[in-house]
Amino acid sequence: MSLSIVTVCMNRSHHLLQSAPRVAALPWHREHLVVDWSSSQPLRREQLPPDPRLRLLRVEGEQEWNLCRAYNFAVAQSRGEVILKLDADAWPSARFDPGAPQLEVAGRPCAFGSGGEGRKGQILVARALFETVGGFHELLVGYGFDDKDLRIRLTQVLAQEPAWIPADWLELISHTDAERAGGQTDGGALVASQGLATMRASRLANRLVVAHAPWGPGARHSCYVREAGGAWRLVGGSRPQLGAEIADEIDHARRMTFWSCFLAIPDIFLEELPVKLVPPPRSGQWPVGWWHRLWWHSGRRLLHAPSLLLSLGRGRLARGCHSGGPGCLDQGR
Amino acid sequence: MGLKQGGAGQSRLSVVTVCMNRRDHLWRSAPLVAQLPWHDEHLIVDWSSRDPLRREDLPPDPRLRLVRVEGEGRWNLCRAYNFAFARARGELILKLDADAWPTEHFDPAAAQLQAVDDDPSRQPVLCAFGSGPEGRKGQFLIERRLLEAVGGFNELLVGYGFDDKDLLARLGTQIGIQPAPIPEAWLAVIAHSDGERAERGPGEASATSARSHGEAAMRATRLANRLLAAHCPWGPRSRASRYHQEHPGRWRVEPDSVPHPPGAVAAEVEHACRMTFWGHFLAIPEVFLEVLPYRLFPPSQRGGWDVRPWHRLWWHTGRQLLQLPVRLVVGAMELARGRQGSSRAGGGGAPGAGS
Repeated sequence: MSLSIVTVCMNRSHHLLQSAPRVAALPWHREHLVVDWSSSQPLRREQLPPDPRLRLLRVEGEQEWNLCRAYNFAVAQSRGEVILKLDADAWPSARFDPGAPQLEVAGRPCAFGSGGEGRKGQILVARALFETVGGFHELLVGYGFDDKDLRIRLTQVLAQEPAWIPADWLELISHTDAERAGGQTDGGALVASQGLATMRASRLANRLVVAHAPWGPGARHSCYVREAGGAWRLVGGSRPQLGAEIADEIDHARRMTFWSCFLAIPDIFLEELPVKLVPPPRSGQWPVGWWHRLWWHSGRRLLHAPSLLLSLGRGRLARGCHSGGPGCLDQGR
Repeated sequence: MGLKQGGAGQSRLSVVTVCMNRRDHLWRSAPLVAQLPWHDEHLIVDWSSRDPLRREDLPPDPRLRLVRVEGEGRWNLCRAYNFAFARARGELILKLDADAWPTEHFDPAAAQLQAVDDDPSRQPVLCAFGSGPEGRKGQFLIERRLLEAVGGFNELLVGYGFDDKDLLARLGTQIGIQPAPIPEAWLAVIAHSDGERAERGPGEASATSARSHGEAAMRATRLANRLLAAHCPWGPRSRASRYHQEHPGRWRVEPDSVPHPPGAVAAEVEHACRMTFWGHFLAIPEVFLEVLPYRLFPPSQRGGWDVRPWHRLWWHTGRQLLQLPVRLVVGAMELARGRQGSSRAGGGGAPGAGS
């Protein structure tokens, strides 16, 4: 069994510099393919361990992180029959055994990470299986549901659930929502609130994309061409697109979810407000202005007070747990 | 023109209609369907209407066949139509709701109803979905084998909305078919309000708060069905509900055969539905609803929402008060723009716009 570890990284070299040496110390893989997804400071081979199994590729011209397109590119460039998709902030622990029968379904490797801190996004899968379902869904953007969608489609093909990689077989660097969403590491409650709103908007939008435009083996993938310098670049027009009507619906839901969560203004009121007051994201970033911050610190806090008082009511915790909890969608990526 | 005269083939065509407590609609539409010359069967399924449909109340057209399913507590379009499709005898199916009928323009053999096939080497197939307003998009003509190839409707979807879009998406993804549009003028549909669609009486839907209730319920089921379609995609291998015939023409579901989403998915969908309904109806942001006592904002029970007097009190007081500053901002910006355009100019459409 030849195994390729594939890792894609965009502006997360500080994570990769922690994880790559640990991966290089592993004895059981044939290749570690690292794809630099248009990091603003290109990754250099000499920054990474001198392991001959480590191969570095770069994709130029990408403005935003796109896990699905990035990993489909990486898997297509890798050589192993078995793929371990490992994010830049993750590495296998000493317990990890890629040949363990418990990671197989119907005689083929197919297992997803289990536990917290993004472990569920780490995947061991036979290349043939990955290709059978068409890989990751390239219409998904931002964060969330990419791994669940892949898992759902693998379950359909296998007629049973993929296996779980035990939580202690994987190590991860922990993140806040704000870090995952935009790379900010501090800033207090407002930044945390913005991070949460960004994540919720992305998670809902990706669910809607899957509902409207399910992915499969017949789906058209993005194509890339190798340039003279060795880097790769997307072939113009090859990136799959949503139909205009569906894209409008999803953009609207994303915008409503972000601003409703961040500013605590119900979406039925947001819909009445001019778009320029609550605008859509630009290049994946939400344009939070000073007036949004002012409202967050004043009106939002004022509106929050009565609900905080009411939340002291008995029974909230018990029923909240029963319902799947307030952060149902948050915990569920 | 018609199928029996040649055209796209000699296929038998079944018009399939399911009805639950919509007898008044059916009494308008069924005689109009009975006048059509081109179908071989009009199968009407009575989905546990409180007052059972009687054959003698329907047109004396020998092509009309009435079947009843007993014991269903609530409307479920997907299960109901999958049941009906399985009982229909034609190779071609025209799915026609009780409030819809084909106009004199409708030609089931028209070449323009042939789908665009991703594989041009295959024989042309008839597959077309309604276009235009007022529920036309939920009416479609399809070859039975195509329906079977995608497993019919997704039986995990409930309430109203997304059933037809989900079917359309799967026809594209699973078998590479892009259905043609049925021209708007080929179908006539009785108009409804959101309140009526959300299974409230037409009288109840007249008050503003009741309209708001109806719209909130619609938004909740539309979102729920999208989440269910994303988490639990349907296909030819999905296990559909099974039914047994108690008496000739009277069927009942085998309860254990009804598919349900996994527990974690059901919890996520229930939460999203609860947030959407109460968030929309009471205009309380989701981030606050989540921390408020659960029992004040309970989930729906059998498709209905338990709106209590204090909810109505809030709707008439606090909600209106919260809306004031929004109206002020909108008004001020309109003034600043010299009253050009509306406050929604350039805005994305509300999600409630589509099914």
